[in-house]
Amino acid sequence: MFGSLGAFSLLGMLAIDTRNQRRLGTAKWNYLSRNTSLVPLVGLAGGRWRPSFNPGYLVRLIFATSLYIGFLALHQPIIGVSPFPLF
Amino acid sequence: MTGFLPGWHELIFAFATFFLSHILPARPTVREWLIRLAGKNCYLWAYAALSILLFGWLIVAADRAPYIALWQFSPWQTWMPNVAMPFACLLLAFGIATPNPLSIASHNDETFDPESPGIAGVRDTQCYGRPRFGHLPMLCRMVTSLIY
Repeated sequence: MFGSLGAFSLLGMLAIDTRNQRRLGTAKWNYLSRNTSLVPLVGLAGGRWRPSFNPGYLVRLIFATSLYIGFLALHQPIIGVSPFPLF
Repeated sequence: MTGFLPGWHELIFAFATFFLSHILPARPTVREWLIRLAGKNCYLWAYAALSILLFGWLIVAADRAPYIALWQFSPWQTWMPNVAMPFACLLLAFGIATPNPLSIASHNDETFDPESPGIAGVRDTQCYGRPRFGHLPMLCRMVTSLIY
């Protein structure tokens, strides 16, 4: 049972791939997915995927940062345990 | 306490319910039937709400289950979530509402550019980004590592 949610999540990703291949047809799925990967950064390492930039990304970057800061700030009041235990 | 696995019933039940609620409505035939019945948006919101609710229950149930230490606790482990969470936040922030016909469900699939997929270069951002995996090392207890 150890790591079961991680395993469940991985199985889910494989199931999603299988169902989308069936839904779109293998040829179309292969065409759409040729620059993607299941595991983050594998496309980058293989040279198939290159980062691009557009202005909307700045908003998303700010959103990601505020999300992280929000989690850190609210951890103590909501969970009751400090996220900075060494201080 | 007597009976089979005393003290674990709620956790086992929560686990089973969570897995079933994730698997069954997503089966292609069931999914199509539900979408015809309720509409795609309604289906997706209901699926998300149910998942979050049951996941919350799973955490609470794990907290109430018996404590079993799986490994020796040391303070550096509490920092692992802080290291892992930025990546989770990035995947979430870039994955939400991004056209990605290769993932669970998305809108504006026709604007997806296979030549330059953007964050969709990772097919299932949400399966990684859900902010849970980082909590694993610090919890030092079997029930909780069972969950994460």
